[in-house]
Amino acid sequence: MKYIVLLVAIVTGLSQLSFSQDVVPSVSNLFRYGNGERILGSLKISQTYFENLTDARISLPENFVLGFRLLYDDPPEIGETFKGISRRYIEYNNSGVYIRAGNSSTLFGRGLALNLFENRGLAYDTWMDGIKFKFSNDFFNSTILGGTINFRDSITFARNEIYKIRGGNVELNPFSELLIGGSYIYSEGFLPQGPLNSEVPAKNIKAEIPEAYLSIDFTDFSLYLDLSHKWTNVLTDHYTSSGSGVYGAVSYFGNGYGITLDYKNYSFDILDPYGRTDASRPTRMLPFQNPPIVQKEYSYTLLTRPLHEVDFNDEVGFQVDAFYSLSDKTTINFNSSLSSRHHGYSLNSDGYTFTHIKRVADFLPSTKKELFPYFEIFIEGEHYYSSSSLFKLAFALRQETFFNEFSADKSSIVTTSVVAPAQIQNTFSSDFSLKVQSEQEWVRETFNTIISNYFNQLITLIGSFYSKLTATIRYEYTTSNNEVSGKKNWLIGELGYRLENSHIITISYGNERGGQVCSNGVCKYMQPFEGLRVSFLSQL
Amino acid sequence: MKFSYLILLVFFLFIDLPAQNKISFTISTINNKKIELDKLYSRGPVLVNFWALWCEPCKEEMRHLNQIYENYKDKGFTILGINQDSPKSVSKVRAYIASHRIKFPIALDPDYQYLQKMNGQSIPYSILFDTGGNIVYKNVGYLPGDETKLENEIRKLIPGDK
Repeated sequence: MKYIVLLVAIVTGLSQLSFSQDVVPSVSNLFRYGNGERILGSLKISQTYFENLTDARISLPENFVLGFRLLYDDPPEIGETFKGISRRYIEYNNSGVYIRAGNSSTLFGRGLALNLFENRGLAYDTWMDGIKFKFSNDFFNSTILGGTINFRDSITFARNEIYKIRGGNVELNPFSELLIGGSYIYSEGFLPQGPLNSEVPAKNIKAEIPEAYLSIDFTDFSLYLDLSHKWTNVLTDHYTSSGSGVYGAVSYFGNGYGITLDYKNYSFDILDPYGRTDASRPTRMLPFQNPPIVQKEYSYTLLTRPLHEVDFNDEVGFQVDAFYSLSDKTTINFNSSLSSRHHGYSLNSDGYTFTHIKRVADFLPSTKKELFPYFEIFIEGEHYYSSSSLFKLAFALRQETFFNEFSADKSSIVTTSVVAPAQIQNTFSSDFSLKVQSEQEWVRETFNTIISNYFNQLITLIGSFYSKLTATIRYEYTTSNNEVSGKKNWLIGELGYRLENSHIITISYGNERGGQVCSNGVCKYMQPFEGLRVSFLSQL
Repeated sequence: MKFSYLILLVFFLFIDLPAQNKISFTISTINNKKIELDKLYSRGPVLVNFWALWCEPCKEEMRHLNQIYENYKDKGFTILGINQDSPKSVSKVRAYIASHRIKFPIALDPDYQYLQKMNGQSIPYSILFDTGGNIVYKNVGYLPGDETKLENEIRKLIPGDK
């Protein structure tokens, strides 16, 4: 109740600030409620979540801004319970000088050294609490920062890592086509090796991460290259580990076409199969680093359920992405990527040690099963047959190989997925449109001679009325016998209403299998859930 | 407690906060040109649109925005698109823009600094400024028909085009 009183008082107070011409507040609010059940492994448990997030920014005289986040997560859908002010900051911004004290996110380059961000849907948060100073003019940008990151392990929420970071970044822009950048991050970390009451001793580390990057931009061509290195000194165990990361992108584009080639070579912590299994090890890529994955970010629900999780500690690969417009009405998008580990490990005859099998061409991905190859091909065509009516057809082939390094028989599990989405959206008038989307997926899992096939089908119907009201039905079906929830069917109905263009209310009821869904004019990642959900978004 | 929240939600519907009028910032476009928002809206109405490659409604809206820009650019209207792709996809933005013949300026915001400045939580998010820097229209999300409403708002701001 105190929270409600505080929130109402703050928002009422902000609205009264309008009497002062120089004080301008703005507020956004996201309320989420769910009441139902969730499947966790073989357990079906009741779940109620109740979340309210209010972000307020108050522009003050003399170029100051005051901001805070009032958060009520009790209980949250995922993550930890929290009630109170979770973010607060004050900013000053004038004539190229920017100073921010309090909580902030930051990105240097493409994130190989520092990428502080939050993804609430995944309960991942590396925002820093500290101070950030930036100076910029037409030829020069510089940033200096220092602060503390309190990182909750998004898999084991009870594990809480603390990092003190200090660092800086300089970018030189001698002429508009060229940018040269450099960053340096120093961090002291405290890494518990288990939950709070764990008896496994925590690790203390010191890490240094320098980074250099280059960006070249011409009218029809661009190049980006980013290199970083990481030294981690594990003080508790008296040893130092080092690793590096390389990211590059080349684009060529013109009127009606564009092609981008991305490359990654991440070797922040290459270890044998024993070492790799410890996800909380102190020598891994640190959570405040977050480089590009060099894989396509899909918007089709079935394709947003990843077959492959990128291993930033040991992965090399590339991606090609091309757009081509056949006409003003028809566009094609092609994407393909391949990735693998750098080197293989062979189990010795003693049954518990490994021989490291080095590759000469370890700067390129391999399709050999011993190197855990992953590849995908995606092609999508989109055609507008009137100004707001269109159809889309797509095809995706993805294949992941998991090699069992602990078995002498060199066995592997190969998962192949073929997804064929199709969508038609017909706009009958500016007041009514109907979208029908079908996504089907054929999955084959092979484990030596054992083959398992199954099929997923997702059908979505969305009716949109008067640019305000949407009604959605999603139905999904699977033939898989290994579905964690044991379910074969998922059906959900959703109503959305947009008020005054600044508020979106959504109510849904039914079973959700999970994944990214786009409805009511926005996209969001949905966790698996069964029951009633309400959300209310306000951007005032 | 739950009842209190219902009151809170109704409260949010009816509060009347002043808009973030006369807001300004400097942002670099993908062509390395610096744009100052206050200078932009002093020359004519400006629509600031936040979008991303992973967001299908954004891309659908983008097609209409390009058409609206073509229709009104000679009357002083302009659009500033601010891309919200993270480092995962930001390298593909220029190729997308060129292939879809998007003519209005596009800037990158891979760490969401500018979306935070405008207090946005969800995209697509569009904000229309008049020549005095006042926010005259905001829209969260994209549904078919939104482009008609937006065009009507723009026409109100263009002398002789009401």
